Amino acid sequence: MSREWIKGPLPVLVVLPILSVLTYATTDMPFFIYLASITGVNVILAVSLNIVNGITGQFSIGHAGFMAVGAYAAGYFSRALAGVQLVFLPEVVSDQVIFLVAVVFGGMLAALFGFLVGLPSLRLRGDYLAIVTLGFGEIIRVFLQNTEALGRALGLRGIPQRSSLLAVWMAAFLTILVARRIVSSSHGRSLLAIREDEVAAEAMGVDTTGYKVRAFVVSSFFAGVAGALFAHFVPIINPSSFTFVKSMEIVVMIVAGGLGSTTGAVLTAIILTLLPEQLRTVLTSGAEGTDLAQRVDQLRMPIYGATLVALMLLRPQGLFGTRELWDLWPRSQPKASDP
Amino acid sequence: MTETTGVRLRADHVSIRFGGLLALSDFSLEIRGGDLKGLIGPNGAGKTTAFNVLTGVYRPTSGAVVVAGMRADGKKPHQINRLGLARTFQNIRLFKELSVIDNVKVASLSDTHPIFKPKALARAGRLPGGDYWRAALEASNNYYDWWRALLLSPGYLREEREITERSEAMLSVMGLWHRRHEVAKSLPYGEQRRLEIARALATKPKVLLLDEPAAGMNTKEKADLMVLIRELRDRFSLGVLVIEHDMKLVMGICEVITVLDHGETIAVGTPAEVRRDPKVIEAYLGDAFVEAQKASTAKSAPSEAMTSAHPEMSAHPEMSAHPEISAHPEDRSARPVPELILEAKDLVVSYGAVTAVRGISLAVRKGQLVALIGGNGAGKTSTLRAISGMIKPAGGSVRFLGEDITGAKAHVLVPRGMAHAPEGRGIFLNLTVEENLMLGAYLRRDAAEIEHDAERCYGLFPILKQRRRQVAGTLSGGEQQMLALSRALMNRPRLLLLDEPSLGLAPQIVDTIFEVLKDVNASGVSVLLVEQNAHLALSLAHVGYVLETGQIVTEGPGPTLLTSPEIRKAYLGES
Repeated sequence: MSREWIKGPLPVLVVLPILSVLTYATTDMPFFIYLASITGVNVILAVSLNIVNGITGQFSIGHAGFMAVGAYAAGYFSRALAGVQLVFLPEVVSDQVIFLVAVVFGGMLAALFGFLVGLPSLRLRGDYLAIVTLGFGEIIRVFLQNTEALGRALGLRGIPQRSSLLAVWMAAFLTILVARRIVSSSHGRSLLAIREDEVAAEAMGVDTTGYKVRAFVVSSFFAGVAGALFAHFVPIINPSSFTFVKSMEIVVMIVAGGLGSTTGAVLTAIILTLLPEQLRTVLTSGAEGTDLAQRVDQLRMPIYGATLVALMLLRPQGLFGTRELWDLWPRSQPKASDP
Repeated sequence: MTETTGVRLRADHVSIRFGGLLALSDFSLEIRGGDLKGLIGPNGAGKTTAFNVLTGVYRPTSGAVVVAGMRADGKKPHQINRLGLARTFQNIRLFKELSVIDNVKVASLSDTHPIFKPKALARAGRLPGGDYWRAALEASNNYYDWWRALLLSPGYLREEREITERSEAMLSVMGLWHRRHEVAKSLPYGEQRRLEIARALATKPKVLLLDEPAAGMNTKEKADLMVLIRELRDRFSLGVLVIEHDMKLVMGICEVITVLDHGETIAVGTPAEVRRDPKVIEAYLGDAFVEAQKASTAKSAPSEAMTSAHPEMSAHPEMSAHPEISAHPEDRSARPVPELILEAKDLVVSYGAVTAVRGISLAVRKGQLVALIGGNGAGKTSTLRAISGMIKPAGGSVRFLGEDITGAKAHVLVPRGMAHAPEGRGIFLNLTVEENLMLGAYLRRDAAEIEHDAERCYGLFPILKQRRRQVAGTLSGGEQQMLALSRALMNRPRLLLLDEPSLGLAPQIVDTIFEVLKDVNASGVSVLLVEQNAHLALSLAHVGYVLETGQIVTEGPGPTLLTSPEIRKAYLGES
């Protein structure tokens, strides 16, 4: 009982050293780091969108918009403070502190936008959220494209490259942890209840609008964090990284993984990020640089698409349905006896 | 506002209007601790509307709802629930994919731990732009509760354990503890109903509203439920209000019953008083039924013996068929038996764990009008749907025009001459009257004939001709029903399935529709009619079937059935 406080930070204390070692071991593998970072960002996006679309049962299709808010906010912040060194701190540490502040700032701003977008549209039932988030994503993109200070279509360049494998995957791990802890708390049960039957949830004393908005804000925050991390490891961020296609990509990930399944979202985010890359390697192996390789390379996206269609035909509920990875193993559960 | 001590729920002259329809008018009710009251009335009487007003789903047009001394109308359902009003739903609304215990846990919400206490909130509310400050502080409180959950603070873990213990205790009371880890949707029907009650009780209510708790239960389950409701009231010292169609159950447990019809309160009293009230009998069975029974009572001497044996039914003793009424104008019994149009054998319909129809056999012959009557939830609509291919029967067979059509889809049956005018009419609200009619003839290619048939429909219902360019959604309920019937006729059906054509309509309009129905039938179209209004349907029908909890309890020529005691039993729960 007295050592209960350890339960909260324990998972972080376990994962932190593992990720540190991994990061240290891969410092001279730039392509691996890049691929792993992109994958980590997509995991954050998928898991956070799953909080709204899977767990709460709403339908948001503008996640890239919140990612863009986080990316530009954090990127602009870091660039503005690029030459600043915090007193008393060595340069490396100072940079990382500013980076951390930038990431949190990006997340907070995205969360604020999430609140402003969510409050009016989540009062209503049905498809309004989908329409509003779709619109929001486009508005953000068009706004970025036309704002001189943010580089218009050319994008924001010169953001210090301060991200690392450790930062991205630690953030991804925290996102997963938050999603899991929300689900297993009384707040999470209220969200699930809203997904199952909003009218009944309301009648059982659940403030449905309040809960939906809170879930949406949390989800937007992590989308902003994903964007902020993204901004710190790609050389340039421009509006074309945050189109509707990007939003749909994330939706596809969670639908394929099974709406409501956090581990499903993680797994499909990883698979669907790496699949196109792996296909490139597999399809063109042994024929690099030839005409054949180029033609085979064109098959990449059709195969990607066909895989998704097949998945939806064979498992319309997604890879895991609403269950989690560990639910697939038979567990010793008290067997119900007949009354 | 002064509050009489002990009054936990009070509705004060509550009315609600939807567009032109007065769904509930001048409804008053009082529930104290320990009360067990009933709310009954025929289909569409406004019972569930009354529940929805009390629980805040709808806002009343006028009048007040007071829960535990607090004005509740205008508040949101979750706020009213917190005041101490919990409910169940007519069509079970569990959180289906969640486990049994999670269903209860959702309702046993933990206390919040505000950083900003109510006093601070009130102070913020008085600042300039106070509403925003207040909202911001409330939001902070809410997010603080989330932080505790994310960090797994010891206090939070303790609360979670308490919630689990409370929920398990609640499940033990309701006899569901052994099923706590199962998914809610996998429970048998009766247990799902019990789980809904457990969930409602977990919100620690002062008053419990039960919306048709016995719907779809078998006789034994109903008897158990009656005992359970009483027990729960005593154990948790609740006030209970029950909506129920099973009269036996309502009459058995409720001390005071309020009867609604067309949104109006037509009677309030003890079960015995209500059962004797001519207005109540009229509302349930139609006024002509009362007349017929009165006439019959006057003539039948042996009924005196029955009267003394069953004093509570003295006004309406059981009686035998009356010769005058059984002489039906269109009685075809003298002619040779006409060909069989439709034949259902041992039809079974299930919805998941619920069996709605338990082995019904019926036949419709050429030119016949067959009525299927029975109380709400008796399985009438399910039978129709299984016949017309809207749902797949779980057992039994259906033959139409000599062919086996069991499980055939509706779109296959329509071209063969089966037309279904569903309950709730199912017309295309955003299309014009004319377009609706044309869609009825969707499968036909003979333009001239279609035009001719449309004219015939306009002849049957002249009002539709006037409104032919109008969007169907703007029609009145009666006009919509006329349109639904006309649209079904546009397909030139051999067999017409009609589901509750009189539902929610004014008496004159019902008469008009049934006149037309009689003409249509006389022109050679066989009709299978589902009706709540027993008198109306049976006075027209060649053959009638009476359904009760998914089974046929009696059948025979319509007019004979009209005076049968079985009907009163099926409708008013007498035994």
